[in-house]
Amino acid sequence: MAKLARKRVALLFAGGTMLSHEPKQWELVKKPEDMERWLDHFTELNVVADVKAVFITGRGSTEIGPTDWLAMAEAVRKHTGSVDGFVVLHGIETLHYTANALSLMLRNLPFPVVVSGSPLRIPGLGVRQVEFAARANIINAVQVAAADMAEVCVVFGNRIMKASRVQPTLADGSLQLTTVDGSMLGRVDFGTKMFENRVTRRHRKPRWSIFLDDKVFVTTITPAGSGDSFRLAFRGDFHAILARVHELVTIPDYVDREFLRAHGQGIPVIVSSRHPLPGLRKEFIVLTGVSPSMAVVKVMWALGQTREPAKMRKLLDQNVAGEIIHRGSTP
Amino acid sequence: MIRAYFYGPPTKNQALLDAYDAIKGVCERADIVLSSNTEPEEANLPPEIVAQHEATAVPLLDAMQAIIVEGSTPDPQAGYLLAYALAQKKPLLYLYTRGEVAPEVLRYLNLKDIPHHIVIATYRPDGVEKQVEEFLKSVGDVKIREKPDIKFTLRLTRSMDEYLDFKTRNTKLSKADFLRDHIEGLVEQDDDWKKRLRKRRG
Repeated sequence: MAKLARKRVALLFAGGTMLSHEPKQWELVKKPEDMERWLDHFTELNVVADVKAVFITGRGSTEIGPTDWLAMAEAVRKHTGSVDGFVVLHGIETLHYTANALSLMLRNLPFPVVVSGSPLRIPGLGVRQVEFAARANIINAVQVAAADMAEVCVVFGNRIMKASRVQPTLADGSLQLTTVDGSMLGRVDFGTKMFENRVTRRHRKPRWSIFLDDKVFVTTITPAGSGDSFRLAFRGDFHAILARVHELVTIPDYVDREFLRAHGQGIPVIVSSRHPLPGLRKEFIVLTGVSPSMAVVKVMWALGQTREPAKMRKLLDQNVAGEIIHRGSTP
Repeated sequence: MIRAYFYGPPTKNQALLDAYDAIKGVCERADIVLSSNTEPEEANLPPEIVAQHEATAVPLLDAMQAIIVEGSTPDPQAGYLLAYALAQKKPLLYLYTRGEVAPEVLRYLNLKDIPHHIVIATYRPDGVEKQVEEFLKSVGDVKIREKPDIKFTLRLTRSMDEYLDFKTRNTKLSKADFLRDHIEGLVEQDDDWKKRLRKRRG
């Protein structure tokens, strides 16, 4: 009988590892020593691929941030060449932030990096259902990591999605993941089916842009605010201000004053908006066409490379990983 | 009614294609609602179930109560279905032809620890139907109609033939199907015959 080349997939443990092998007994990977036991309870993964375990963090989804994103990207760089693909195991709540960040930092990949993990423990959903959904997600993710794909993507249920476009949504009372434009790279129904719009494997040199500066002051502009809300930005040694202006077309005067003050101190001001902002000063950078989580991550990523407003503007204006859906608005 | 999925890797090997047909034939006789990659439309499910899965992002495989895989040829999808069934505790029949080396994918399972809902079986070309029948009966309350394999020459009158033509026109039934259905109905209602069968079985 002819043989198939066995694929090697690196599992990056960063939460999303909730399994229950006994009723009410949850198996989680909180430290590197837990990985072996976890894999012992998931032997069926061996059928799909040869799995290599890499520990990133044992913290919960809401505790994962830029330091972990950098660690994940560095782990991918470190193990490149020794595996056929990567799966990042992650809790669902903040998975979209991680996926967005990895899509910017890991580009021109010759292999896939798949972000996936366990669903939340939702009231009303039985242990068995959560357990089955988690195992199915992870098996599907490993299958995609071994498939003909070469970009950062998210596998959630039957959806294979571009990581730069993923956002959370509430459906049927549970948290789900979808894309800002509804597009998909493939589907899992009776097996994985990849669509033509995905990037396929071929020999290419990865472009590592593993930079993040998390000193970003993120705020939402409303008419009810005052200049006081910005004091923290000036006191806290922040390197950029990201203001989300999703409901207004005109920037209130108090905001305009504070923005000008920040700009005067060399702090880049980025305004993320759903609508064009005709009255906005040229000094401020407008960021549109990306999801709210991508706006935050992209500013951190750009800031990790430069603090110069002109260069930042150029970086933010680039469609780095297919994250810009349509210019002039935010989905 | 049980919903099942059959996977047979794409092949031009006639012996395997015959086995695929035999497997699907048993499912048809068992009134299994079968989805299969070997059919032009892979999913054979009511639109409301497809819509529900779409909304909840749950793979359609989840709607299947049993999975059958013909895994004689190396194929990543066969391994995937095996892993999925193990994880989801779904009944799966993994078949491969007798006399062949066991598929590589089975090496990665600890054969001692295979749970009872996973059946790994070899088959001879004339024995595949029996394996599938036994598996389907173990899955649930499945009644499998016998395969009509006794050839019988029957001479009919012209008026009988005209009647059969009339009864099967615009139906999917052949004249032979019509007669078989009638005989099955007679068997079902024949208490003397049932008594005799019971006696024979002791």
